[in-house]
Amino acid sequence: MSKRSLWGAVVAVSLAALLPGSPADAASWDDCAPDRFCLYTGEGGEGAGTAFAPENPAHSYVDAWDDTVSSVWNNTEHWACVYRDAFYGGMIQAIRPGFRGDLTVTDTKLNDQISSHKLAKSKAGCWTGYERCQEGYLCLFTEVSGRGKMTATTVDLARYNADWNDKAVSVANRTTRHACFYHSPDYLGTWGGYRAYVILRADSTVVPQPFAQTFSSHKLVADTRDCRPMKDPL
Amino acid sequence: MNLLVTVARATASAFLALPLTCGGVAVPAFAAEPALTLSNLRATAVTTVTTGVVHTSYRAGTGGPWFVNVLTISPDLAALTVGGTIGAGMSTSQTTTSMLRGVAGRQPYAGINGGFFDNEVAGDMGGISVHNGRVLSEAKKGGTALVLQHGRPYITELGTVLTLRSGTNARELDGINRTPGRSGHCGGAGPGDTYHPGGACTNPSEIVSFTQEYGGPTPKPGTLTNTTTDDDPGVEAVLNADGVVTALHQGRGGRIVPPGGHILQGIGAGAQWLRVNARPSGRLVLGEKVIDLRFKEDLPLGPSLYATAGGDLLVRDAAVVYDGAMKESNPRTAIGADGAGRLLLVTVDGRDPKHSVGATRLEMAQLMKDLGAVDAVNMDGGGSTTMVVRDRIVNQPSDPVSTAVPHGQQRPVADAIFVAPGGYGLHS
Repeated sequence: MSKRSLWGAVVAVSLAALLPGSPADAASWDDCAPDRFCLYTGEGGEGAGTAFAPENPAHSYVDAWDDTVSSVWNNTEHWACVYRDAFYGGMIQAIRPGFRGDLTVTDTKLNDQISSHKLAKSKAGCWTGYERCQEGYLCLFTEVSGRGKMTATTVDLARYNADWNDKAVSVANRTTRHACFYHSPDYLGTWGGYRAYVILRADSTVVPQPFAQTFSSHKLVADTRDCRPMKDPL
Repeated sequence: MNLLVTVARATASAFLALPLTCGGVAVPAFAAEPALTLSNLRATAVTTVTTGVVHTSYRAGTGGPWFVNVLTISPDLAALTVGGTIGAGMSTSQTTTSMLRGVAGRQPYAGINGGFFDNEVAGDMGGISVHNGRVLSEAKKGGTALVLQHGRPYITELGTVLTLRSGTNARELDGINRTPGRSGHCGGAGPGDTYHPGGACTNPSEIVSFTQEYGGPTPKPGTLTNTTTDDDPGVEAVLNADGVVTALHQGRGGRIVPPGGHILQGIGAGAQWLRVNARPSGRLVLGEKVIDLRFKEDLPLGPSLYATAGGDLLVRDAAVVYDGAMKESNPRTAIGADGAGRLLLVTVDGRDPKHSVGATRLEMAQLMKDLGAVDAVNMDGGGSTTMVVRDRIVNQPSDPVSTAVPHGQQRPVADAIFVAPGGYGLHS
């Protein structure tokens, strides 16, 4: 298979989550088709290469690509958002449409550090990951502004599992109801004088202190007055 | 105001082109020298409104005078939500302060006036409006739009595809929440339209839908004073939330849209289409699609999305893109996002040589770039330019309060953009 046909195959696979695991050597800056974001393990577009269409973000990279990208060609009209950590986590670099070059020359410390990416319609779009939360869901994120790991639900949860207990740093509420979060399981507990933290329907927000990384249960309610009935059993 | 004047600037920015008719103060046709740039300003006050929201006021260091207010919003730093409000409804206009006070669930920290609107009919947006997952005003052809979703602004060009279908009979829906017969913001003639320089179209054969968000009784024939294209008594079909026609009235106007339903007003051939296809107990299907023309893809509608009509594109991908065609100095409002994903809400006062002389659109573009904007759009300006911080007006709106007080009166506008608490603790 020629390099060009291999690249075509990579694009056709259209994996939404993972980069392909079998990179092929690429000549410098070859084969990055229009409307593709191309990654290279070497500087100057050399080394192994792969390409992504704008509609195919990569939430995490397989080992062969994780922390190995040294140059990129953003041959799209989108901004390419690259992140140090998986799931759009950690340090961010926004790469302008048309940019082709080494990560060592961008204003970043992300050479050989990238672990996820997406293409955004604007540079500002690189700073949010809320768009991952689908309509109808309540989504919790481990980092600010919808970045980091995400979990999504449509129902009340009286007890978060270990992966999500005391983890939420930001929330997108794309349900039709308001979300009431609680310090403890079973819709109990307090933060000083507060018994619940409310995020209205259609809102997405960072969770401030002292509420950040303390949520253990939540309810979805039609009226925020319905957040209140809980009392600690004394 | 005659039609020629109305269509010369089919939005509230008519006042921008005619400062003597509005503010009562002549302004120079060209910007004062030196130009308004950030380097010619000095910050006079920097206030942290709340964590993540900083209000900075500037006055001229060189040239001017200018009075510039900037809200810098950092969604990463605190529980903040950025959104928009149409106030009491599409049929009315309200002051920015009044709209912000009416935001449901929380009091905004700060806000500014929003999109362009038609100065002929109160509250008629000068282009697209999307709120709560519903299209509330059709897009202007080729018009820019400010989209607020996912905590960041996105500035683009949006189009709408609006359809009406009864069985196998389908036709275009001409507009939403405006008086049939005239679109103050068409941006170019469609079938049957007469285009008027400045952006308005008249058409005596239309169907326009009204949603619950119209917020008042539907308009009656002859509402428009400078055209006869809305004089046809026409018909009015009332649809319930399921799209079932509950009544077809000969003649139109004065009715309230039922909850979740629609009222369709038809004039000319549009009225005839409704007479044939909107039979009581029959069903009409309204289709609405919003297209992001920049990337040629649908923009999914949902409750978290707010879109409003922008004016000239000022900055895109970190480059000033405004061509400088319009050279009047006036009060300006602009919205943008900087390289760190922060929102910039900016006002420049004008029409008062002792206070602030305003900005040209090109100066506004350069100022937004100076402030770090990667993308920025000019919003409604002139007498509409208003910034409110914690329920207090911090700029000087240019309209007169009275003959003795020539400036400082808030102008009612069609919508407002705000930053508010993104969540809140609930007391025991």
